[in-house]
Amino acid sequence: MTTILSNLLLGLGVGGVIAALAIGVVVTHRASNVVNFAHAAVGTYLALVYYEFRATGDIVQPFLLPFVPSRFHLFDRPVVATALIVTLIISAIAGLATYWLIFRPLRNAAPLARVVASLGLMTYLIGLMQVRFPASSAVARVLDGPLPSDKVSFGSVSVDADRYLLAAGVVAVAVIISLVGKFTNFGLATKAAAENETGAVLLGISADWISTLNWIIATVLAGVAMILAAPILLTLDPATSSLLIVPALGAALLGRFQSIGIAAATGLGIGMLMREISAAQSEWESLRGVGLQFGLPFVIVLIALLLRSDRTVRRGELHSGRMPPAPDPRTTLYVTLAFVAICTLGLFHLDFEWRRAITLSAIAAIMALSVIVLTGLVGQISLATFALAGTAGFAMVKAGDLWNIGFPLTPIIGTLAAVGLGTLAGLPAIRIRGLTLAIASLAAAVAIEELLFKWEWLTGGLGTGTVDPPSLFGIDLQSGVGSNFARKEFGILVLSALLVSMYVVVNLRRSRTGRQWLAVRANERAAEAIGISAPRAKLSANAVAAFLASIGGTLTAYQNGLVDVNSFAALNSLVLVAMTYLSGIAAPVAALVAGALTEKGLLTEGMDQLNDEASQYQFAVSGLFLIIAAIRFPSGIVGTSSRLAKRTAGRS
Amino acid sequence: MMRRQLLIVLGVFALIVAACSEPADDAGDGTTTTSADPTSTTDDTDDDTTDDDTTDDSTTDDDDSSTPTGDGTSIVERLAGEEWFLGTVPDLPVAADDSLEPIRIGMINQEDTPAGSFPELRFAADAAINFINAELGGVDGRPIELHTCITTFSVVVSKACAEELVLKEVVALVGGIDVLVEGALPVLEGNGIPLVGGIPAGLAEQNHPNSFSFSGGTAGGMAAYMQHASEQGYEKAFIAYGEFESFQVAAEDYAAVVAEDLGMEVRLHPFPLFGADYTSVLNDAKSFGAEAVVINAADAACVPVMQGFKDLEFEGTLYMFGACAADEIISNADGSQIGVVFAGEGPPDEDDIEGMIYDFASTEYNNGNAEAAGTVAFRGMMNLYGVLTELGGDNITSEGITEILRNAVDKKSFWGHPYTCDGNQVPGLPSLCAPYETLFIIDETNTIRFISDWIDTPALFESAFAE
Repeated sequence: MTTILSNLLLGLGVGGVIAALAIGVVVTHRASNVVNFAHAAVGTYLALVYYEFRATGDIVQPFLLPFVPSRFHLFDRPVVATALIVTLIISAIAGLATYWLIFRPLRNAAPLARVVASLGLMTYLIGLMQVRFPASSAVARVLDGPLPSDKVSFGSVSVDADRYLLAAGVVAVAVIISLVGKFTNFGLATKAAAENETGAVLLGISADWISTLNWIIATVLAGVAMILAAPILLTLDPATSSLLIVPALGAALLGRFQSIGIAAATGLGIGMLMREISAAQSEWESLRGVGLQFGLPFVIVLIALLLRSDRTVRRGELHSGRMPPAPDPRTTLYVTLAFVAICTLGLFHLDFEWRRAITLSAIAAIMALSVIVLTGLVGQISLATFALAGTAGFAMVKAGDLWNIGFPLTPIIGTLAAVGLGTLAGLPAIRIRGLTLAIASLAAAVAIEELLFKWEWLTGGLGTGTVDPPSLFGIDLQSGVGSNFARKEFGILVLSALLVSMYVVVNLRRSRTGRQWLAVRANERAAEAIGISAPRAKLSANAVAAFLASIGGTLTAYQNGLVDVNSFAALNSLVLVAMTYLSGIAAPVAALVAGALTEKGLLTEGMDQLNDEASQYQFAVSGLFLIIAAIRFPSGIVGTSSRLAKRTAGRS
Repeated sequence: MMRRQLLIVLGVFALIVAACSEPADDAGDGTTTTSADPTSTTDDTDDDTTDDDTTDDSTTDDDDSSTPTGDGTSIVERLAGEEWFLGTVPDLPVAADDSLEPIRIGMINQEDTPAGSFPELRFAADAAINFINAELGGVDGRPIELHTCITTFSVVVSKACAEELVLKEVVALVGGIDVLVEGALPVLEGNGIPLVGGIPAGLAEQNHPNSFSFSGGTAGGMAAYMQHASEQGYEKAFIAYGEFESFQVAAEDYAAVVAEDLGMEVRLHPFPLFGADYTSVLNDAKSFGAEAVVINAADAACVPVMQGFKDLEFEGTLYMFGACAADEIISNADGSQIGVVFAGEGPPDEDDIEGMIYDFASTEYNNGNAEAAGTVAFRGMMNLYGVLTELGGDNITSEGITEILRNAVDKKSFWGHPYTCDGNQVPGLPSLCAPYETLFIIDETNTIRFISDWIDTPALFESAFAE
């Protein structure tokens, strides 16, 4: 008992950090219905500003502006109080700018647009931080926090005081915000504006003012949380610190992005649970190796979420903004046929870099089709595409090992396993929807990555596996043999799979099933009223999406010659969704564009050959353009181009 | 209005694509090339290293390939006749002959990614090649040319890099850091191209038959700690490691086995790579009653871990990797580094002449900051150079390089322990050719003091894995 209590106390540090971030996530969501994936990245940036300012007296500004210096000197040796005040002012300005420049223009947009914008912001900030705060800098190596770090002992446990102070601060903030939300005009106005913006405006409440203030509060909280967290987690690495958003989202999810108290308690609980698991792993060998510390809390969050949810659509849950139009794909098959024909010619006549680009683009296009089916046509935002693809890849390798079989049986078994899991994963989607579903799918993806992909029986515990070379009727289908890379035989296999996948999707989209999907996407209650079974529609879409993801996963494994947990990491799904959104989330033909945008794909290869110098800011710039695309071009490249083409045709 | 929108769409589209293209410094084909002539390495070459034609004794016929020196004397001249890993340092600096066909060496290095950026290894390999071409005459006059491909923590890009380098007809790859190099290894193996040196971050690199690393990886370092702990008479060892495959294997399958063989009781403690609180890790060590505490931490974690160990008043020793001994870190340790034992792979000699060569070359022939982990890439390139000279300028092939490395027994290494690539130095991790380690402490004046000679970790493994 004493040991358990000790472990719980030791978990307060990490739990406090997760809870602090979760509170900020809930505040922004309540203010403007945004799940801010960039919340921890914003906090990390502000914490870096604080520590850099403390160390050098320089303020590092967050904008990519030509001819404007990236930093300017303010004081020589600012004390803690000065540094905190300056950083809090900068945090407030950052919150103001984030809302007015990015999320205010998106207040009536589809949830997906807001997700993409926040992913863009996260990408921008990570890229910016890497350039402006290099890993070799002093601030990355020595973190001297503002809270006292004297040891406080309870029995045999000795913990730095800053952990307790942070946890106490989190509880205090949670209580204050909850009380403000219940008993002050500002809190009631926030709730009113979140429930019904038009109604709130009619009552004389300025929704903009309310949202602005909430964004400022949330951003200040993010900054303070990460300033205090850095000496506890001993890192302010832009990427890893920004990923703390994942457990924070899990905590906020359980509070349904509404309850500050539940989010804070869950955050603290996740930290304590991680600590208990850590102690258990240290004690029992059989628990090591599997990613229990990170995976298990998500499983528990998911189960709790399912138990708390019901099938009933709640007020406001269906008010999710307009999804981009889903045009009739009557010409899509012809376009795909032309694309495949040209690419096939390319496989025979182009050099290996272009052949490789064709192959990679086609695989990515199949993955994008999976997103288009589930998100574009049914309106279910899923961030688990790569988890399903990886499941197919690992199952394929395992089947080969177990039964000594090869292509095409192993990919078929891999596909069946992924479709089974995908359909199973679709069950919660009957009860939860919208952004909640998006975060639940991300939690599921993390759990799959940590628990399934690191399961010793399935993957040897190391998250990698070797793929047997594919061959059919004596034809060698390997992606490369010797120095013959990007072989046309494999390219043709991939292009054939793309053609078949597109045929399936287009026909489904034009069939009764597709119309049911669109009906559910447009209005779930109305669809049910006219006799469409929303659960059946959702489950069928989940199965088709899992089927497509698994084809992409098995082809990725054959392309790489191996399956590897990093190729199927949860965050890849975020990038895929963003790229598909950019291309046109509701038009199957947009999958071809999304595929071309993939790493080493057709468009990037083309740019490589045209442009031999890229900027160190490329990561930040790509984030910036995701934000612009989310705000200005919700129909994506395909939708916008098609609209422009129609206008041009109309004029002529 | 419509035209404006069209322009915006096209502009956004083009910029997104540009943003997704290869990182900085890449050539159009995705690789960068270090010219054989150090005077034309890259655009940002330090002028000091290239323009001064101050060495009269240069034996080159080509004025353009004169010997660049920073202070009027080349390092070869200064150390002429001294013993080093290739026998004795030549009497005079000789530049490579640019008219001869260059020897192409590849390098895959991870840079500009959210998962870590390690340009210092590229700069170090670059500096080594510039030094070889400028002062050592290349390989029998043939200059060495470095083709670098930047990877982005991606199996796909790592594989693509290997394919591009194969088609550039590189004879070997000098190692950088590529955490997901498993994408590249099958391609290299399929074409018989060895991967030489570098930091073997992933497990795939440590047990691949085509990889040769002048290091013992994490397993070597941890085994050395256990040997030291055993010598101190410690009975309980606590090993904490991040949940990453190579760390996990090093701790569970090597360090723990060695410790138990040395008669110690071991407690293993995995922690997530992010979201870990080291205070709780130290508390676990304390409650276990650990005397030897190994914590696989780096950068910002170094000082708090050392401080926490001191505050908790452990009776024993804290062991940390050499990365925590960086000047910036120690200068902020406030004395908590006293008593901490660090592991390194360099020789236990502060005045080693190869260290002086590294210092000189990484300053004078450098295009960027080649410090810290750069020493590993520099050593890798110099050892590869040793193999190339052994083959001779006219006989350089991938097979030849691989054969020499596979047959290497106690072969002298640049600024490191002699290496043996028989695949048995660390059982099960055949790529680790030089797992010998040195241990050092840092005293109150922040001066490094070696406390061991080379620790024979292969003997530790042999004993531990004996039936």
